[in-house]
Amino acid sequence: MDDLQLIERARNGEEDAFGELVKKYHQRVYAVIYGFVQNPADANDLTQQSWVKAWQKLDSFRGGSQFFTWLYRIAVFTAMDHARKRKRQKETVIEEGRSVTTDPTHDVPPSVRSNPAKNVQNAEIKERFSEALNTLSEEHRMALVLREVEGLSYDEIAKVMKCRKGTVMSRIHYARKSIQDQMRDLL
Amino acid sequence: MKTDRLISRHLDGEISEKESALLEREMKNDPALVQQARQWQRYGELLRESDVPGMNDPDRAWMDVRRKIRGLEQRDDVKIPLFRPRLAWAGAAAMLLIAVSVLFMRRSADDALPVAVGAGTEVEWVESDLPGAVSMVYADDETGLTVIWVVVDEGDDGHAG
Repeated sequence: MDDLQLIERARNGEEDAFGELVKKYHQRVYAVIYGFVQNPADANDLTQQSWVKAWQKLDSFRGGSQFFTWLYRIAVFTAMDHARKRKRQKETVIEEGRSVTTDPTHDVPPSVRSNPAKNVQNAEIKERFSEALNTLSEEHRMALVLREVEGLSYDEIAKVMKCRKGTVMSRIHYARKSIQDQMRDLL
Repeated sequence: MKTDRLISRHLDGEISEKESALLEREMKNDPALVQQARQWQRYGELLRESDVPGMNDPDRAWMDVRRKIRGLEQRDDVKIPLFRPRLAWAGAAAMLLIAVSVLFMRRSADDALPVAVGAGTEVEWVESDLPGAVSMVYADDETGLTVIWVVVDEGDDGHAG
């Protein structure tokens, strides 16, 4: 059964049809969100939020675009919204003069944590990369993630992010340059 | 700078054949550009290498989503009997209030007009010194005013009074 048939059934209240869509696209949605937030707990939470929003907005899907493009848009804005809120919270905490404690292993994947001796250099690179990624604006980071993780074309990214193709190109280019500046001594 | 952008687009497969040939020539002559392309390629690998750790199993994820959806729908169901009749009563009361206010204001306006122009005044006849002038009198139903037109015979100009 194709996506449109599943969507139609889901619109008629068939939860299981929506469940099929969830199971089909869950990994892709999670991968995009994880690439953006770099944190499994947040990624799972935001992926779930995206699916709930998709269910609530299912009637607004017109079928003009592919389902995953529509779904990505929901996931992208959910993740970007979360990042903006988190950034504001951090700024508030810093403004209030409290010390911010961070877990240095927080953003390091478990596979790296389980064998630290072997992966020291790799872990350092990944950590620095993750830090560099987090300094980018939400728009720059998401454009790079959609391109590199999902392999979306500029046109597809433009549709998901509701911007022009030229903007996508600039954002990805800027993101790479910015990461390069921050990792010059490592890579 | 322009070559920079070409490298970026080249990595993304968003480059024309002509641009590709141009970039290839430039990269042959400049090892720094090759190095840059490799670095940028590595960033993509780093993003993909993370192997999406910690993802919930799709079946489990669906169960969680379904639970959430049902929870929201139950909350909506609870809201409906409490909320909607109240909204309906409030709306009806507001509509009634507006209707009564409009009726009252219109009646007040209608009552006020004859007083303004002089209640009970009736125009029976109008006289003008203008040569060849013809007068017309009529009551405007919409405004309640009595309108007097004095039309001069010369040309099409009319003078209302």
